Amino acid sequence: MTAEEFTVRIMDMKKTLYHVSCGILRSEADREDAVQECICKAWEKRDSLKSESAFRAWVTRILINECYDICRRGSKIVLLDEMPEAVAPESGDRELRDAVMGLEEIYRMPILLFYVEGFSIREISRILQIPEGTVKSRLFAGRGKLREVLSEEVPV
Amino acid sequence: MRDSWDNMFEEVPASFEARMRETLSALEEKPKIRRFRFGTGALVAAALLVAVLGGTALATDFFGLKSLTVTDPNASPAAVSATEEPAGGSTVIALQGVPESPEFQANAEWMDFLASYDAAAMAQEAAVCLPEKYDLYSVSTQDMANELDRIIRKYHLRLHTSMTDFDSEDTLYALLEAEPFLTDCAAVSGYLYEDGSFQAYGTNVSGKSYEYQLGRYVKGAFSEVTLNIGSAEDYEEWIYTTSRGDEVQLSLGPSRCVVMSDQPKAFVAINLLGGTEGNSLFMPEPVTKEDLEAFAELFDFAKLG
Repeated sequence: MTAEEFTVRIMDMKKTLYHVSCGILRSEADREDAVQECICKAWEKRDSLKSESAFRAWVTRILINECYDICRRGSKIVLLDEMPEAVAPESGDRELRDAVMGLEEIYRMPILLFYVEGFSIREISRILQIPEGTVKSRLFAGRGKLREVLSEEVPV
Repeated sequence: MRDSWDNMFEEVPASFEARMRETLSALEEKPKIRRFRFGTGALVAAALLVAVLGGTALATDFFGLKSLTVTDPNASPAAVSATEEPAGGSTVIALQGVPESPEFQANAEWMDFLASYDAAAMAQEAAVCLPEKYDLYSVSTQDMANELDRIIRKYHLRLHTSMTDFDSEDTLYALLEAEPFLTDCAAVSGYLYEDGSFQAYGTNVSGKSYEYQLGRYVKGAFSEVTLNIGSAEDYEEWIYTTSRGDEVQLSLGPSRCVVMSDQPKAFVAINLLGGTEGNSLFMPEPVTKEDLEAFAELFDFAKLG
């Protein structure tokens, strides 16, 4: 993959990269740091990607790792129930966004990746490194929690 | 309704996009801007690990994680098969049984098929309304349904027919009509199939904080659950007998651990979300061999099986 091709594919993913970083990190500066590291690592390891069709999921996984690294560096111990609620930028569908961002991490990321980014169950399983069944159950439970918050049918 | 999701976020901020462009332009000027950091220490550690694994005495009924490898269904058709070393140290394993079991072999065959089949393209060509019996599986075309039927006939298995969610330990026991089999359970939730197979996500309360995924796979049913364990070579594995007398296989890896037990009625597989290197989100502290053995003591495998 040439630098030009890589650039095009990464820029095509800019929304995905931004949304995923919003799902984990609170600060805009941290998100920018994470995406920079992600791009560098993806470029560095691009030859290890066997199938270019998996590029989007692969880069997303790298970004998630970078986001978690930043969380870890910021706080030596990050317990799940102490994970901060991610803060998304203003505007957009605020009610839904606030509800999603208020979900626990384990539900937030599958919901973001599935509904907002359009990844398949299998891709999410690979990105989050959890079994497909767990992705399904977290989506199911996450939808239930969103319903409770929004008191209405969750868009699917 | 789809618009609600699409509109959830506004445009990407200019500063974020600018940082991306800046990073990308630096790559263009100097493609390899970083160096791999594998030093002598890492190589020595790897050599030691190989030596330890090579010297481990295995029980006769021992099966390693590597023996449970299946083809990664996300790989392209031309990618490696399960019998070859997966690219990038990524190993996908099936969790339904020992290598010679029909449950494992059926899943392995199904994964071979999924890896070679472009379901998305085929589904677009011929949208079909499939019977409900395939709802709980990755089946979206008639070809896939036919292949799944062939596999379950070949291995004399049955498909799951319904799924019930549970959100507490008590609910799980009540649904299963089972005696408690979890010790120090802080929270457990998941879903249960009609035959008592289930997938649970749990945490414990005492000792180290463990987060885990527990799967009980009742024999005779087809399940397509798989787990990506990274590189199978990175695991230290041994057989451990719990204080209750249950023999389990323990696999200690850098970022996760796997506990497996082959019981008469069910195969039990537990994915502990932490490993020797610690885990940034689920388990910050590294897991030791002693920790993993203590973790295995939290489960009454005989009651699960």
